[in-house]
Amino acid sequence: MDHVAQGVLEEAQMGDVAAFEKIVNAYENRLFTMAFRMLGNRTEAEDAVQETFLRVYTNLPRYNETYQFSTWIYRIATNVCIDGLRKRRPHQSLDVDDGEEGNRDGYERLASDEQDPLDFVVQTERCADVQRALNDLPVTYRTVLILKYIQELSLQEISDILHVPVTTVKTRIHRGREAMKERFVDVPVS
Amino acid sequence: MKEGILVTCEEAKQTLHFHLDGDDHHPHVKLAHHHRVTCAHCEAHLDQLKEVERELRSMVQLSAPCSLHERIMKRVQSTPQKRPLYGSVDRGKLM
Ligand SMILES: [Zn+2]
Repeated sequence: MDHVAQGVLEEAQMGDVAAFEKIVNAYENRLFTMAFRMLGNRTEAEDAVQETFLRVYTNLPRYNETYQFSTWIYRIATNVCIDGLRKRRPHQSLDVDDGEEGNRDGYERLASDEQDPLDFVVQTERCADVQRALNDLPVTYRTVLILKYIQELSLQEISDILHVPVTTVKTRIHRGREAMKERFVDVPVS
Repeated sequence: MKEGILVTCEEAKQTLHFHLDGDDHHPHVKLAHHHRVTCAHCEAHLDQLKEVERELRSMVQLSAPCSLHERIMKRVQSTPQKRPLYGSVDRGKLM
């Protein structure tokens, strides 16, 4: 699903800044929500959204129809967020493997107590709990859960964005839900 | 093969996610369903996974701050675009 008209895209590809602003309008809330959920704080989320739109703008003349525009812009946003996380923890692997056994060594935990007070303005208390659980999740799982449940993208779209097969997306969602359950649902299983 | 006997909790749990994804045609889902309705442990596990889904779906959608929008547009105006990969700009080919 694309959110900008073809004509607008073409004008923006020719360097029309007013046309590009329509693209920004169509995606800024979506991308800010995604970046905030990925990074867990407002400052880094704003930087990531700005960087995403700058990359979109500079590379726009090279966009072709191989993928939907929406997929293309989400791929850039995902890469920018993951880059941001890598910069934060340069020596830690952000990936977990997709093998049969969960690889706990690949788990990466991020500090969730670095939020600035503004962050709480935009979140309910319950929502902040879920955000903390997300922050604590391996990035691979966090990414698919955010794309599926918060951005409401289809498995095929997620597969295109991440360049992995749909079966891999499903496996990551399964493991992600389990990981969230462990961190978040406090009712002990009898 | 008698339903319910061959399915252990561990096996039933593996199918919970297929059930959540709507892949109910997966061969083990039916057997596991039979197990689940008689097993409080697995039923609770499924409820908790559903709770995770509910909580994620109900997370607030945020609005980008106006200051961010302005910052982006300001930067864009002073940023050059890359050249198209194939020759000169040709709308027909690009799109
Ligand atoms: Zn059971």
